[in-house]
Amino acid sequence: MPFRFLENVAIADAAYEAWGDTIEELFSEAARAMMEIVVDTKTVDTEEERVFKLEREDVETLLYAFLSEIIFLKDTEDMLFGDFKVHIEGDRPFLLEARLYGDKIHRKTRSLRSDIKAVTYYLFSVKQERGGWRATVVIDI
Amino acid sequence: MEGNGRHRYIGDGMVPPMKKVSDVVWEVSPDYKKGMNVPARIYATEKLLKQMDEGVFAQVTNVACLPGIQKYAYCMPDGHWGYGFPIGGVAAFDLERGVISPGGIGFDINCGMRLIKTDLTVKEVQPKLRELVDALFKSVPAGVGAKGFVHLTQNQFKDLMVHGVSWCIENDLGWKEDSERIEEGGEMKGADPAAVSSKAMQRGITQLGTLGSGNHYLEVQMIHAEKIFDHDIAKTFGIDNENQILLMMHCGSRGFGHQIGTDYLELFGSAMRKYDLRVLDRELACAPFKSKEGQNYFAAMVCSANMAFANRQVITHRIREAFSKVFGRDAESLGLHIIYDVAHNIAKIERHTIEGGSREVLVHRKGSTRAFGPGREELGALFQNTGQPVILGGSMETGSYLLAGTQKAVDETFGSTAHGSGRTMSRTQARKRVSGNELLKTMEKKGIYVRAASMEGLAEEAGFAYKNIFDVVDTITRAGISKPVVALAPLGNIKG
Repeated sequence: MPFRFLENVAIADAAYEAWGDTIEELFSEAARAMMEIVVDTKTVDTEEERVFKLEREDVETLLYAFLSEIIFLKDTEDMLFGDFKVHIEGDRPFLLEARLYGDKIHRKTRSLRSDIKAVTYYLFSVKQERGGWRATVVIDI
Repeated sequence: MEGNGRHRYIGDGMVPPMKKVSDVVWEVSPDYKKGMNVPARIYATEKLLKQMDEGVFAQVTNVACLPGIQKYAYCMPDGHWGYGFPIGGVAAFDLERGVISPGGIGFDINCGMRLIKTDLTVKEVQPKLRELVDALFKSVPAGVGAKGFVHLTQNQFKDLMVHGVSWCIENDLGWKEDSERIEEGGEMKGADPAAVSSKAMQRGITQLGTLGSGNHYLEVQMIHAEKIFDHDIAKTFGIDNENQILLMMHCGSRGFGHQIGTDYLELFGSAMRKYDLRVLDRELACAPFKSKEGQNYFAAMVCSANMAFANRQVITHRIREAFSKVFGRDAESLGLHIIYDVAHNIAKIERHTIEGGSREVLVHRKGSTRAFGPGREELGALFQNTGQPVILGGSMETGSYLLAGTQKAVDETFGSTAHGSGRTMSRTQARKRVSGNELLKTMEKKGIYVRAASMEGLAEEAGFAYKNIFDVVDTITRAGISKPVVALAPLGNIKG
C-alpha cells in the first residue's frame, strides 16, 4: 500500500506516511490516506468530478493547501472522494491541477468513520528520495 | 526521575531529566534544550508522568522556546502528545514582546465543555432513558457531514461572530440568564468578521448546532454514588440533590474554527519570515501579538470562540426542546439551567502577577481549562465566593468531574488546570482492540445507553484508550489548582 498510518504519533489524531514514484502519485496517495480516515474509499462512487487549481512556492505548502482544499470541499459541498488525479508543473511557483472523483456524504449504504478537522504542520514533510517521493502528515481529528 | 539523566530518543522527543518540585510538579531546566527561555513544568503524579508519551516532553520544551513566554511552559496531568503544543499545554506571553500561535490554541478554537442541570431524578429518567437518548440523537446533528437546523444569512453569521450567545438569546435560542453562566458571558470581546476568510464563512455557516465527531459527545449523567465532595459549592453551582440528572456536552467551533486555524497557519509561515522568527516545530508558527498578522488572527479567533459558544447554546436549545417533548413539560419547569460553560482551546488577555507586579498577558490554553479562584472580577457575582466551575470530561465509560477554580491556580499556573482524562492509546490501536458493536454491548451491560453516528468512531473512544480520570483529579487536587465538587457518571451518550 502506498501509505501507512503511524500508530504512536500525536495519539488523539491521525498520522500517516505516503509514497509515490512521482510527486503526482505522492499527492494522490496522501489524499487517499486522508480520505481513509473518514471512509473506506472503496465504498465511494466516483461519479462526480471536482476540479481545482493551486499555486504555491514550495511543494510542502502545496501539499498542505491541496489536502486542506479537500477538507473544505467535504464540508462545503458534502463530498467524499475515491479517486484523485493530480497534475503538477512548474518550479517555484509550483502549479497544481486536481481532478477529484467522488460522491455525496449522505448515503445510508455505507458507514462513515471519524471526521477530519484540519491538516497540521506538525512533523509535516515532503521529500524526494532515491526512486520517489515521501510525505509525512498529521491530521487533526 | 530526578537527576538520573535518562535520555530516551523516540520520534522527535526525548524524556529529559526532571527536578521534582513537589509530589505532583516536575520541572525541566532551560539548560535542557537550546533556545528555552523559561523552564517547563509538568503537573502529574509519578504514575501519570510515566504514562506520558515522549512527545509531551519534546513539545512542552519547544513551547518554552517561544518569544516572550512568561514564567514556565506548562503541561497539565491529562497532557498527551499533540501537534505544536502538547494537549494540556498552557503558556502566557508578554503582550508587547510575545507572540500568538494558532498551534497553542488548536484548530478547534473554543472547543469546550458545557454542563446543564435538570430537576429530574435518576428514578424519573431511567424508565425513559432510551426514548430520551434517541430524541437527543435526533435533535442534535452529529458526525461527518451533519448540518444544523438554524439557517443563517451571511450578515446574521457575522453578527453571531461578534455577539455569540447574546445573538442566540435575541433569536429565541436561549434564556436571558444563560449568558451569566458562560465563560466571557458567551460573547468574547475583540471579534472582527473582516479578519475571517470567505472559506471559513462557507464552512461554518451550515454547522451551527452540530456536535461534530472524534471525541465530541453529549452525555446524560447522574451523580456518582454519593460523590458530592463539597455540598456548599455544589449548591451554589446548582446541584442540590444526589439523585439529580445532568447533561454534559463537549464540542467546539466546527469547520469554522478549523478553517480559521488552517488559513492563519499558512499565513503565519510568511509572517515568521517577515518578523525573523524561528520555531522548532512548524506547527508552532506564530506572529508577534501586536503585529497586524497577530491582531488579525486574534480577532478571527474571537469570532470563532463566539461561534463555539453559540454552537453549544443552540445545542442547549435543542436539548431543552427534546426534554420537553419526552417529559411533556416545559424546559423551565424541568429546571434545565446551565451550570457553566468553559473554553479549553483558546488564548485570552488576562491580568496576572508576575515577579511581584500585576500585568496583562496573553494566556494560551490548549486542552486546559481556566480555573479562576474566588474574587476574580471576570467571574461576576455568582461565583465570587466559590471560584469558577471547572468541567472535566472523562471517557464515556468512566465518568466526569465538576470542580472549582482556586487562588493557587491563579498564583501558580496562570489560573489553569486540566480539561479531561487525556488519551494514552492511538485511535487505530483502540479500534484493533474493540469493535464499535462490542463496545456498545459492554456499555449497555453497565447501564449506559449509547447512540453513535459512527461505530468505528465509537470504538476509538473506548475507556481503555484514556488515562484514569481519578488520577488526573488526584493530581490537580493535590497540586491545589482545582477543588473537586461532584463526580458524575454516564447513563446515556451521544457520540459524533
